Amino acid sequence: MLYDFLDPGLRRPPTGPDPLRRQLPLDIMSTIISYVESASDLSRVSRVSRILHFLSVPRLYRTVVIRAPRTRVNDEDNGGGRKQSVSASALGALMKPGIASCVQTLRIRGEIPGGDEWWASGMWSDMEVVWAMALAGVMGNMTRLERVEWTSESYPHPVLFGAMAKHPTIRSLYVIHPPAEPASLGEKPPLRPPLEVIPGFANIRSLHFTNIPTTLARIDDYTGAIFSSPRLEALYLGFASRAPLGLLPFFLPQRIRPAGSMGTKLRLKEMGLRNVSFDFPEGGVVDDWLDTEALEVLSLIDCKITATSCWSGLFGNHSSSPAASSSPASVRSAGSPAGKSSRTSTPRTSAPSAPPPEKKHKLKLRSLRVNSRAELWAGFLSSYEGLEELYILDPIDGEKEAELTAPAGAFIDALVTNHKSIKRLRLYSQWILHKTEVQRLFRACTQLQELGLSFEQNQWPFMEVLVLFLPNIKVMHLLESQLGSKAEMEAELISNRETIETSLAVPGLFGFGRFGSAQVFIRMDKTALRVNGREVKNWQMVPFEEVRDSVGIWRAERSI
Amino acid sequence: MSEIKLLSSDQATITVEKSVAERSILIKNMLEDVGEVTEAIPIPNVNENVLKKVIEWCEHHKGDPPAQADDDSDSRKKSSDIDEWDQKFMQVDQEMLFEIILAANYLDIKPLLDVGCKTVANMIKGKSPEEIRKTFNIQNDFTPDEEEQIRRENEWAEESVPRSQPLDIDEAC
Repeated sequence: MLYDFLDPGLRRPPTGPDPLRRQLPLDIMSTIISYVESASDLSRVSRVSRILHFLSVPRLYRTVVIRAPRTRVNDEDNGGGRKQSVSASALGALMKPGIASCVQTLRIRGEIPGGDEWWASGMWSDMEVVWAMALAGVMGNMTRLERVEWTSESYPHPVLFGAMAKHPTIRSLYVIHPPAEPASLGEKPPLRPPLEVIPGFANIRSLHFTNIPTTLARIDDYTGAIFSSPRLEALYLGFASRAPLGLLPFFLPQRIRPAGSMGTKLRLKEMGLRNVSFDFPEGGVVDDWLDTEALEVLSLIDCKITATSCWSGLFGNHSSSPAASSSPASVRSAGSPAGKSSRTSTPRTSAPSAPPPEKKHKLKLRSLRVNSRAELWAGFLSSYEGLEELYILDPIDGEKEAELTAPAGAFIDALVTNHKSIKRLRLYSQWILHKTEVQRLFRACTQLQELGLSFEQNQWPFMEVLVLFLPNIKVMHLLESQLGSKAEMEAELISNRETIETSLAVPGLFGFGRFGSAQVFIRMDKTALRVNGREVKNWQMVPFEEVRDSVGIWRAERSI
Repeated sequence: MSEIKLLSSDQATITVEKSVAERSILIKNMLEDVGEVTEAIPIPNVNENVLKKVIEWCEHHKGDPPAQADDDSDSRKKSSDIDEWDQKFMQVDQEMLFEIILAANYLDIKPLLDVGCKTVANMIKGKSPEEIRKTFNIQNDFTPDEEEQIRRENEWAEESVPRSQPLDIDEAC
């Protein structure tokens, strides 16, 4: 029973329901409640009646968002008028096993009062400790907890890490670190109290540590735990700023690689890094701590790879980098930084410009996401087969790529030769493709389901023919348009509407255009209407935010 | 094009294309069991007005592909995901809406039941407990203390983001 007081003897006996009006049966009420999305609506449904309470609480408590307490219990209020914070009330509810067992995702937010006491005392504040212990306590009752997200403005206390490390059902942990302390405080002790030894996470499959403050060397504290987590399959590490030494602890086996069930190498299916620079003077090799042959998903955003020997598992064991082997200066033609004024057309020829592969790698990699057009990536794509997802995102605004960049042709060559299996493809937005390149791509990669690219505006009529090569296409995203405004783009799409509807004949095709900063998604509704003897499809404008998460090429645009 | 007859609870006979009627799993299974029928099939729980409305929906959706096996995924659970025609179709008074839902449930027409339930879920948005009670003709069987305790314990939910909107972990860095 969720509440001890839910005793039928206590039920109020006021007027009953109107007997002349229909009531929906419980199974239908249950289905209706399954469609209620907002927590506040579910909260109000739970107060309607006992039956609706029982129906709605499991859904309401599936995802709990709990804030650090902002106020303390007011000791002066005794008796019936007692007050407590929202957090304390939530903790009270979560102490009940019936409610706690509903929780699958726990989100922790808010700043913990007293977090700055450490600067004076050199210790975690009492409030931080008590809050961590309270959370650890309620987590113990959450028998179905799968995911914990820490986005508090304070750091998670070691007690909490200890509780999560031992928890039997947590599979994913997300920690977004608060902004680093101001540099002006550097004269005081530069580090927060260390996490000491974090135990390995016994059951966690997926770890996401983002906004890691590089100056605090927080990763030092995590590394041991990472290498001691026997079931870890996905690891995402994002640093707050580019960290030349960010992953250095990974290269120091004597410090961080305890003899555990994970051994000395991480065997991950997914890895994502942000703001890491792989130009270690020590010449550390990623393969020393990562089994690259097991990787299925790799994401490197804002990373700098100047010495490919760091990634010998991917780029080959040769000492010279692919970039250095053949890279005429003219290849840089497409390497200008992103920006409206620097739009570049790709060469019309399809001559491969990527360096020839030395060997075909045996990789399981099926998804690659980078925001770089570096030549080494074109070379890498030529060196193995079987990619299903490729996302070449745009570099940070205004940042010039340090590596030699390759034109679109080099990447398209690699795709049509080695990756006919590609299903989701998003290309650099400033590559304005010509129809011959699009044609080569479409003819070879017929399994494409989602596609984001830019092509010349006057090539639009050819799309009706070209898209016929893609029987599985669901999403087509025109990344860059030479049309200036939303109105122009809409007019263009609408004028081509009949062509798209009748010639493409692709049920459920999504059309999409980016209109300056505002984004609108246009859906071709599956419902057909008969107008003047002809079937036309409805077009429905939907806010982009509503559909973004359902499409891989748009999800890929998020950072780690 | 074969047709069958349906007999509503108020004894009205409605002739309908067989393929349209077979959107109802109940009728489809019945026809598979008994084979050819010449007499009207009684639908004792649904009156003529509601039955006509249900048939209108079935006619419009007769070409729809069958529901996917993974229809229980989260993507199905969006109350806003109702196509334009269905939205207009569901613009009826509340009594009729509930009757359509009950008929869809009885006749086992899951897509129509889902559209009806989504429409009702949208009606719940922003309503107070008392307004929900009135809408659904539900008696409040909580004592004031109980209701207050639940309100307090669930207060965290009043300030959180919509459940459909995942925490934007990625953009926070």
